[in-house]
Amino acid sequence: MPKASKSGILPWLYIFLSALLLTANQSAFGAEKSEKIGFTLSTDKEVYLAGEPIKITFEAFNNSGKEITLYFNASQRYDFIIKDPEGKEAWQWSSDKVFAQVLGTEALLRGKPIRYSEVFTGTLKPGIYKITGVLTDRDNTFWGGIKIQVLERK
Amino acid sequence: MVNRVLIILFLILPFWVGIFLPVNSSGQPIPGRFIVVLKDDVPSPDNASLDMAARNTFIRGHVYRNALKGFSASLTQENLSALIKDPRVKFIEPDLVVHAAAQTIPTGVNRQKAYTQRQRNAAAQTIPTGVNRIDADLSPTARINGVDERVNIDIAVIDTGVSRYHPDLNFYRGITISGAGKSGGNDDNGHGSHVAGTAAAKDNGTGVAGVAPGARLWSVKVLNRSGSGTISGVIAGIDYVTQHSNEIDVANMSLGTTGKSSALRAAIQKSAAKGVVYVVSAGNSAKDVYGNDGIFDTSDDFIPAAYPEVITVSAIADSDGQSGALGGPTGWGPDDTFAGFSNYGARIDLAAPGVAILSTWKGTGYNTISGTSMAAPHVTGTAALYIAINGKPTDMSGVEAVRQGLIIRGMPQTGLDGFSGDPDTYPEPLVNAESL
Repeated sequence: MPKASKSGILPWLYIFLSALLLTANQSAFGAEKSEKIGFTLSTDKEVYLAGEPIKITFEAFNNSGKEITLYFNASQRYDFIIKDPEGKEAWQWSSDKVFAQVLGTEALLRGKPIRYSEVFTGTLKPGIYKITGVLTDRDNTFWGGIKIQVLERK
Repeated sequence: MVNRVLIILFLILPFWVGIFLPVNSSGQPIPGRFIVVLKDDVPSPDNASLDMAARNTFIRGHVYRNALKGFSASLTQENLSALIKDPRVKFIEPDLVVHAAAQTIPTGVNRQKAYTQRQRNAAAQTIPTGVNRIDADLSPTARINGVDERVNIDIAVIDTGVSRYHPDLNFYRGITISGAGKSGGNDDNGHGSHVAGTAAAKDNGTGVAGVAPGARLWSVKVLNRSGSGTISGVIAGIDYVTQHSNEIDVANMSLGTTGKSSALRAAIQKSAAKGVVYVVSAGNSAKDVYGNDGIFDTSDDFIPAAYPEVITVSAIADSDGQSGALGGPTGWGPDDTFAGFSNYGARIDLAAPGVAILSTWKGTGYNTISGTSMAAPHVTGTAALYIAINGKPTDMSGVEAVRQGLIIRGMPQTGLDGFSGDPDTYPEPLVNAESL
């Protein structure tokens, strides 16, 4: 068994980081329940290398026994926002989008959640980021968000 | 066994048809609709009718291959004259009303207006309340009388596409901008077809009539099937319109977002400078178009509505197609009031009906929906009529003349034909399609 030396610390560091990435290869997930509507927000992983695509999924589900109608002011149904460690906005899905200006509704049925998903393909600097999902209905229902970590790509 | 079932079905089918035919089916001719019967020696009705449609610019309805050889179609007088001379044609006869359910006029439509011969002729199709409220049905340029005489104007619909095969839409050319979905400008959402129908559904005796009936529709598909798209895609759409600015007169954009984009504004400026009139919806957030700060060119503006180079349109609620606030309440306010969802502010040029608007939909359907998206095409159609009378603008000053022309001729809020409830102090008039 080789001795650990100063020059041999890099392989151990590599193994440690790999193990960290391996254990982190699970989705970040958060859920919040209101009286009527529950929300989950998840990513495909918790830790990403800089530049790695981040898949974000937002679900709304019906907690009540009755059908819920969600009212929207335009064709936009959702939004995703990523904020950097200082709380500054790093990305907002809707920022380069336009929407049809038609009123609309979505029926939220019990047992049939509404799911929205987007993939962020930009590059974030290493750090801890907060992701927020927003249902852009007339009440602008908001879910607080989850955290992911971005590591430097070697 | 199968043959026996078919024989039985064949024997009883006429009785079923008899049962389901509405009692009040009048058998009256549907203006503009005809059945073209081909000679027996024509080998393929499909090929022959396709060839005729291509040569004479009309859209086929049904193609008959078995009981007789022929097809149904909406035909203009010009089409008829040409087809009668075609050696493959045996005879042509008018199509008849057999399904009254799709041709009823809603209660209240034309209630207070003189029921002229023109309107009696148009009774086989619905005049949507919005078209009625802005008096497009009284416009001598629109000539809404159930006969398919088309307004000779080109309208671009920058949207989710326009249904290519809708019998009530004069689809002319289409393009799908990358990432917007279905090819060839066809509509996979419905929104764009609805906008197109309000602006220019054909006055062909069926379905609905638009403000500038039968105007040529250029579908510029920049929104996907969910109704969203990118600003870069919209700019590409404007680029396409600009490329064809010698043909396209008016462009409708029933879309928007909150933000700031110099590129989008520059594209519109350049396009308007080539004589294209842009009509834009104000947005549905019940806010000032200039945002909370009320200042133009800041990041909380609703764009492109905030740009001074476009005609910006707010929405009113109207339930009966008439002035006077005598109609029933709508989900967005009493009859003849500012719609509760509509954006407002100093940037608004004109108001138009935008609540519960009936129009064409994707495929060959119809739908009733609400939004400032629905208000804008009433103005687009009116701008088309204005241009048909006064000529096509060739530069920004010409575009500005169209805007001022429509504002000056609008129905003042405080007038007999006006509306109440505008939340700001800028009294944009209701667009008026009759007095142009």
